[in-house]
Amino acid sequence: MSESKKISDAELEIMKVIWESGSSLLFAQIVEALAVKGIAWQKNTLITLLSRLMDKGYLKADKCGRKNEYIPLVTEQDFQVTQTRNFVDRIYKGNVSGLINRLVENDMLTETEYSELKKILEVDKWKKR
Amino acid sequence: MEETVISVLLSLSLSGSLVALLLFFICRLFKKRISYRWQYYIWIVVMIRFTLPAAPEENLMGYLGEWLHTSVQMQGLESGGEEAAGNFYRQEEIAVKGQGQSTGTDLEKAGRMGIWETVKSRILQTILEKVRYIFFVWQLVAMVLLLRKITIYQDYMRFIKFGSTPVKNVARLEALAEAEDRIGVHEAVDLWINPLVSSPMIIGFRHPCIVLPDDSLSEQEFCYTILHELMHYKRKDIYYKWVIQVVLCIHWFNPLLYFAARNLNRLCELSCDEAVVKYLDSDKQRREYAGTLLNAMASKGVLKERLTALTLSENKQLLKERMEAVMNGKKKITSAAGKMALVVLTAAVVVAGLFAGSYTVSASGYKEAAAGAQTASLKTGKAGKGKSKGDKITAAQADKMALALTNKIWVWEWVEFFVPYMTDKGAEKLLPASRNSEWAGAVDMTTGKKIKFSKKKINAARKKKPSSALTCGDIDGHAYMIMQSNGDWECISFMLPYMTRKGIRAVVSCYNSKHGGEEKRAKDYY
Repeated sequence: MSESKKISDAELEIMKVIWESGSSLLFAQIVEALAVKGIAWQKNTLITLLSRLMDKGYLKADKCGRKNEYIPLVTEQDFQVTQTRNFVDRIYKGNVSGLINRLVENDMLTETEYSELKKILEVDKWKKR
Repeated sequence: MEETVISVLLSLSLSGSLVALLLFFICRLFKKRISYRWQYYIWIVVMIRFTLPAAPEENLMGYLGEWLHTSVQMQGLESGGEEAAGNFYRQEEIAVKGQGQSTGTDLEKAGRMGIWETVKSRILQTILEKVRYIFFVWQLVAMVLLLRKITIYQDYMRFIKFGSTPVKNVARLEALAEAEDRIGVHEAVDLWINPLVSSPMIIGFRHPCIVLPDDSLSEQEFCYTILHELMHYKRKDIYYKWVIQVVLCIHWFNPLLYFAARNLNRLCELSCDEAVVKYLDSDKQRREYAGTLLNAMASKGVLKERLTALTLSENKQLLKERMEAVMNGKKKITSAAGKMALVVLTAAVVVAGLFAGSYTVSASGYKEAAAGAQTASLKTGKAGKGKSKGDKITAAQADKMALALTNKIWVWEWVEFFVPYMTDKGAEKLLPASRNSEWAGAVDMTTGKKIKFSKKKINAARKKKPSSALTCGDIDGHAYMIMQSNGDWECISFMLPYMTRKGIRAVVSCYNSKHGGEEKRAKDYY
């Protein structure tokens, strides 16, 4: 992932709020949703962060009357995929089994998560055949 | 055209410089007593004087221009221009000279003019001959300078943006937002770090962004730094700076303006500090603000600030002045009398600007507006200032003159002169008018043929596309030619309102030379 696409913690909070809404949000709705999470930034701080997200291509703003409607350009899944790939590349040199090894070895997976993972792998195997 | 532009330009440069000098003088006198804000913004008047070629009817540059013109005319020096008009002016000057030699008083006058006048006209002659080249060089240098400034600015902006990282620390962004609220900046200003810049600055017209050299500032220093930069943004200093740069490009040959630009840079910072200090309540805060200025000076980046980027500190001497100003805090005028004095000073600068004036455009602009009044003043014999050679003749005016001429006399060539410039309606009226004229059906003495205005002739003349608009100078030449051919005052009288004073003088002296007995005076027709 290129330097310019990296997202800061604060920016991620905003993206999460928008993703959780399922579609797009107006400025006031973002403020509300953030307040629910206990984040109360000033208006201009939020505007700055939103415009940075737009520069990076995560969001676009459509004029909705006199208000701006913020529409995500990247889905949460896509974001997670690129972030994970980035993470695996960086920490495990691109080796996914290394990651799984660490998860299993250190008991970071619960019983249900383990069986779910197994199921996913079975289905994937069947698909590839 | 070149001549007009150059004379307007020179007159603007000169009158702008005069007002600038006056302002330097005023600021010298009252330096410690007038706010920096006034000292900074009053320069807008000077910048307007440098750029706007408009002025009241009577102004210094107008006088100067007239004085220069008459001396050119007296010495018989006219720049090339249009061949016919040039010849005509020379003839007129000969006529004027001839008169001068005939009477004793004029001879004395000529003697008094002496060496000074000769020198003056020599210089003017050289300038007029080279005016095309001067114009070309001026234009070229101005263009190159402006383009260079713009590209340097763009490159610099690109460079800064490229090496910058946005500040992720939300606490800083919150402090910035708070500062924006505090001084009333409504736009959200972004915040970047770029280790290459030498001191904090704010860039961008529409999407402002503060760029800091590093993130090491204490909370307090950060607050003062952004207050200063936000104040630049709030006051739209970057626009002012660009106006100055554009004026500098136009008047690149004027050294005084470079000096003024440097002074304005200084005043920009000083008045910005002054505005920030208004938001600081205690002496302690003021001291802290001054300390921040000093610290900003100490950290050094690689990128030199250039041109119009707004930096926190530019050089040591200015820094010293700024710290003194900040520490002295609220000074300056608060009393009603003081405020009155400021108003008077402002008015004085504005009036000086108006009086210093500008050449040519003011004269011709005024004349065009008062075209009607001119005709009236002609009748009453009152003196206006006369048309200038380059003043344009409208199609309606061409109609009027052509129809009057047709009514009066039937020389196709004389009327033909106007035809390409006429309106369609006016041209249609020509044929009926020629039939009603007292000359209808007359026979040309030399050829024995009936002289007739035919549609064919008119249409052919219409097709000739004039390369440029008809000017008063052209009318001068035409009227003089007619006067020389038949000496009939009635054939040219309707052209007088559209002629220059010089042209009127020429026609009158020609008339007088043909009619020994009844002398006319040019003055009566101005």
